[in-house]
Amino acid sequence: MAPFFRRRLRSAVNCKYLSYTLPDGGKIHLPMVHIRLSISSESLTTIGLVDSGSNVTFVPLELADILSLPIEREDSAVGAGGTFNNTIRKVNIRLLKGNTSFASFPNFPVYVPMDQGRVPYVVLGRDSIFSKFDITFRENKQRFVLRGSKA
Amino acid sequence: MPMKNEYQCLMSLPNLGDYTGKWIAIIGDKVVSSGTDAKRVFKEAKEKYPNKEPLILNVPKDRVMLL
Repeated sequence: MAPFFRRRLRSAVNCKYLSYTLPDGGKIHLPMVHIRLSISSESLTTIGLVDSGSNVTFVPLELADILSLPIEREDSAVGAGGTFNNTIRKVNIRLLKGNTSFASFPNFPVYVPMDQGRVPYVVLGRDSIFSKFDITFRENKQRFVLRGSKA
Repeated sequence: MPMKNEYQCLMSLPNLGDYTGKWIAIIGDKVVSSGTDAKRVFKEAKEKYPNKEPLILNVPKDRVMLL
């Protein structure tokens, strides 16, 4: 008998939260992915927070300076601490699992706050990782799952 | 047994909390440089391992964060 519908399996990437203990005993658990940032002359890998609360992707000023990302234009953004100024720059972003890249965002426009420390790490917002993946957070297991989103 | 990559090393670092608020660079399975100046941490890592690509990050220190 033919099935009423065919379920298309979408490949899933399972990720663990980055977890560690602060010197005062407090615990930190953050949904981070391993990413590579690059331009033609330089590259590095770092961590990116998977953040559905952000509609754009942020790169800390310190990392943008290491890569010497050229400035395209400026724009302001509103965060919990109020409005802050950013430069907008372009960078190649790759998401990594093990030693393999499973998604890429070439020449991707990112917001770089003008103040050091405004964002402590890359924030992957809804314009990047959420545009390619349906993401399920399993907070009680400190894991999250990325599934390729349906077109 | 294959060597851990930098991210796997980060995920299993027992003393990551000791670096809170600092930038660290990991190459292979160890922290090769740390400090408050990201550029210097990156440069130091590249000087020690010129052909490697470091994992560099600021270890978040805040328990509660709303960006």
